[in-house]
Amino acid sequence: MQPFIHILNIRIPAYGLMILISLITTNSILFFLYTNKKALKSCRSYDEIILLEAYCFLFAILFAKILYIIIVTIKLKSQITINVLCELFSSSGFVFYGGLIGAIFGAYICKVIHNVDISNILDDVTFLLPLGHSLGRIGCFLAGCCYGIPYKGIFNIIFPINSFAPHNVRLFPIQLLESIILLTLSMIFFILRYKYKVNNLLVIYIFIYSLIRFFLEFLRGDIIRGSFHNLSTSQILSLSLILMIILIKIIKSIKKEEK
Amino acid sequence: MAVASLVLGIIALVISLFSGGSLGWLGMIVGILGIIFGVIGKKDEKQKGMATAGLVMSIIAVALGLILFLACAACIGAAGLGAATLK
Repeated sequence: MQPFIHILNIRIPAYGLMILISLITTNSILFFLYTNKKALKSCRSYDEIILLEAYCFLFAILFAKILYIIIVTIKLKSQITINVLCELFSSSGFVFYGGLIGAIFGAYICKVIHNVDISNILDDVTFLLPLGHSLGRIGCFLAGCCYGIPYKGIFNIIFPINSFAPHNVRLFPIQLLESIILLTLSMIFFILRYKYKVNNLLVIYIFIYSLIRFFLEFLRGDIIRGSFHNLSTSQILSLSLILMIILIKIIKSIKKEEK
Repeated sequence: MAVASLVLGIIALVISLFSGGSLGWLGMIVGILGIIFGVIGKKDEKQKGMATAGLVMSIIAVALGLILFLACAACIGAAGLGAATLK
């Protein structure tokens, strides 16, 4: 609704600002949890958390960019020139799921190089992922991207001319719905971890989020994200993740029975 | 490590501030490397100050890179977008 926010005559992109707010919020909570000593017991120092975060972000950005360039290169085939490659490098294109794979790889690298106990840390901080994501979705709402399908019912919204969404069309507020769902998930995961001491929360979160995302995609109206046989790229990736988790669980249970 | 962190922090800050956002992602990568070197450098008591300075600079560079560059990149970052805009 407001792609740019003006502070002291400086034009700041609302999406970037919301991502920054989300990072500051999640890191502040992390720091509070660490100093409180009730959580993150497996950490030797707060530096370990910063290291883990840095590795995850580093590989997430790299993988998201590399995957984007690979996919666009495959699509363009013969049209690829040095100028086009330069354009791709400086453009804002990223592939979200490339970032996700990169972040998991980064966490593994951090574990190997610095011997950080990532499994316990990730369980402790899983609830921050939907929280950060929820704030990011508010950024989407402000920028007008990731918009919903045309809808004339209750809570419909019309985006202004300078936003990414189509103008003068009543749209479903999918960004706000996803934001509320993620915020609720965050609270549930916090209670599950710190009250009921549930383990393997990251896997549970990926499973639940993939499921929710699969259904929310039907309410999304932006078609630029690519599609395959009536399913969007995100739906195919969500289904793949769900199947992968189920398959791993089945293999693990079979191995347990064999023992 | 501390010197590397400081140098990377300065380079990241320059990229984030003066590339007009177009190379912000590169600034973020250099900044993140600066953060990693800064954290490792802090373990050496003699160079703790320099490492902390590098760490802080790198964090500022990453934050600036985020604000200036990440205008909805994660949302629109889909495979078909590049092809669509380049055609």
